[in-house]
Amino acid sequence: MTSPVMLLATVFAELSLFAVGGANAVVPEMQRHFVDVPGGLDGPLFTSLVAIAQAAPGPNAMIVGLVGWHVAGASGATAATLGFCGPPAILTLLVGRGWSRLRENGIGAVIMAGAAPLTVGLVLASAWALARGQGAHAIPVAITAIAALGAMWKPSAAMWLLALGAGVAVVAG
Amino acid sequence: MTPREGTLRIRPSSWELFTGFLEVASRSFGGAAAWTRFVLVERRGWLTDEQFTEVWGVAQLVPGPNVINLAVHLGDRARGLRGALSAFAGIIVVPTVFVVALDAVLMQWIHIAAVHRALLGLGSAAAGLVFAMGFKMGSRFRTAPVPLLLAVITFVFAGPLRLPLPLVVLGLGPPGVLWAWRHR
Repeated sequence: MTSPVMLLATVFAELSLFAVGGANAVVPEMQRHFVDVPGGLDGPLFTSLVAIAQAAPGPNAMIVGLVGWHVAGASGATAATLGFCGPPAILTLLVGRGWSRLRENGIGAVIMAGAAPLTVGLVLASAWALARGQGAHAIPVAITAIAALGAMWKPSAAMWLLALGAGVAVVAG
Repeated sequence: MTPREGTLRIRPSSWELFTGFLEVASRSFGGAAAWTRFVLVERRGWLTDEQFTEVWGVAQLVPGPNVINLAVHLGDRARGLRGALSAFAGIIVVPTVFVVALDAVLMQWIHIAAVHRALLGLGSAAAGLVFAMGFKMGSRFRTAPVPLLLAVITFVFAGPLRLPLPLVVLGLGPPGVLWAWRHR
């Protein structure tokens, strides 16, 4: 039986190398491994944690530490954060030191352009997973739709849209 | 460890790397990407715009959290491994401690119905913000059918069909790179 801390470290370390475009890409996988499983989080709590990680100051990758915290306390948060950030950081050090060569032969630009569609698809899949976690009820679906349209129209309104979502849920729930 | 200071305008110390990236994090409500350039180029003046674009490119090339990769890369350029660790502590370690503390406070109150509903509403709105981000990022594929198709297939596989992420990335990454290679 693997300990929860080891599980967090290994799952996030593996996922980190496939996290094209950042922490958002692994939201569906986080759900698979740590939500609605024995010893894991329940679905709506997980989605709320994602919202907290988005609303609070700092990178969205803080969600990884929050999930670790809820699964296994402080050591869980540490294991998840280091597991998720460590392998990409090491890769960054290696790529960064060889960057001038990658830039000269054009490989860097090709990889970036080639990964762009994947990034977009994974971000939308993450949004889908989050919305699904909130259930197919009228109020959450409406809040999601309004926030999406609002942020398309005015990206700088993100904080207001989060506050609006919380407010509507309190009043209408 | 040889720092590559030639590629920075100002070479910050390890402590400045820590406080600089802590500043990026503390300003970053709703994700860090937009604030990174503002703090590093405008406020701190460590990089020119061209240098920032290059550093951003390295961070994007590598999988994982982009802003954290950027911090590690910039720290390494300025002060080697020590600088990378300082920047890492500023961008993610301290903010995570803060957000866990915030969460612990919120969870004390979650049995209050209004707080519980507010958190659920926050979650629904967050899903909407992520949708908007995806649509905005994808809007540049409107005139490029192949990348658009790849993005849609990626969404369907990873979202509704819930296929494992490694399978999706390894299956759909190579066609994307191949397409980019032929259209370079």
